Amino acid sequence: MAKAPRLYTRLTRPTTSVGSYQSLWLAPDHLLVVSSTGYNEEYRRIQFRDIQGIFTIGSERRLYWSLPWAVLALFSGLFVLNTVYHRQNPYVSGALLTIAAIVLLWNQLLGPGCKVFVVTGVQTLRLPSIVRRRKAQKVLARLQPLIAMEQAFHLTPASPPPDSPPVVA
Amino acid sequence: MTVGPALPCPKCRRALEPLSWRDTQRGTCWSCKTDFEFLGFPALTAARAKVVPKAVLVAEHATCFYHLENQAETVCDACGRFLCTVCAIDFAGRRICPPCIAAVKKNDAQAVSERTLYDGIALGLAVLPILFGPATMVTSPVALGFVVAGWRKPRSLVTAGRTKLILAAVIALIEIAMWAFVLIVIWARKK
Repeated sequence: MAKAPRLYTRLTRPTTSVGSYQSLWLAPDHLLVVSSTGYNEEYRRIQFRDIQGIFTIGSERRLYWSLPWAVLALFSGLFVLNTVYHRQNPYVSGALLTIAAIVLLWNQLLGPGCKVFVVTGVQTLRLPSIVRRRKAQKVLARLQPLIAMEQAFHLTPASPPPDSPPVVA
Repeated sequence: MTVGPALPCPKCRRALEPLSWRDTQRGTCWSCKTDFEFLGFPALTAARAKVVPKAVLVAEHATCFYHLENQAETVCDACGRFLCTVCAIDFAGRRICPPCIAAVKKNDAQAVSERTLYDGIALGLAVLPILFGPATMVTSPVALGFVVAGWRKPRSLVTAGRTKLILAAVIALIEIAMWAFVLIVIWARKK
């Protein structure tokens, strides 16, 4: 039996929040926001034709992620110095310092944080899986032509006005 | 001077003042002082086509199943009933009537609102109790049960493979085999 074609393409990797993680997927005519606990998945769809606009605002995510790792790097660095001063090998503190430094560097490389909101006629919905500005720019650059094309197709007046009085039950 | 559209600020939800906009794509909310960038689409200004049903004027007109006073314009793609423009709803790529939406939502990949992940449950039951040792004597058969139950159930919309189910089955079978071995050894020693 032929394998069914995949309907969704991944736009973002899962972003973790308390008790669940969110990801964003692309279908031919809509966006799918997936919220998963690992045991259950919830889906929210945003049709391209309904999207009026997309807001991007800055967030302090990079700072908040940097702080705990900077503290860990600082303390493990002090322990490394102390261990070296006492002519011993700083295995544990050295490993901690390396991990903290790598995470700090990685956090800096990911770029500044942001929050992205989709505006439709009835709601302003946050896309929780887009949390970095660079990723947001990439995703929006991919979405913009798709949304514009879908709306160009759907928002052109196609049906002539009715020739008889309407009856609405 | 209104530069941008009158939308709510995404952070404080208060309506953006006209002067909040620096240009059509950037601005600062006057209420919460948040800088924002905005990417607008034609739907923001376009008027949506109104759904206006046609009244039945002559007896020969086919009528809507739900509104006898409206002309039927189309047929429900799910149940085949005649529908007026009010009742024909574009849903998951088809034109269907409201009662059929509930049925379609359960099965259609483009409409389903949530799914239980049997593979995630089975893998969790097979792996996590390893931390507690003896608990696997109970949880590994349960995990195997979830593998069997979930084999033909609809899986995740976005990662639809059976890898997790297979992995859970393998781990659960290994755990069951280990427990069987331990119990046989204990029984043999008692004899």
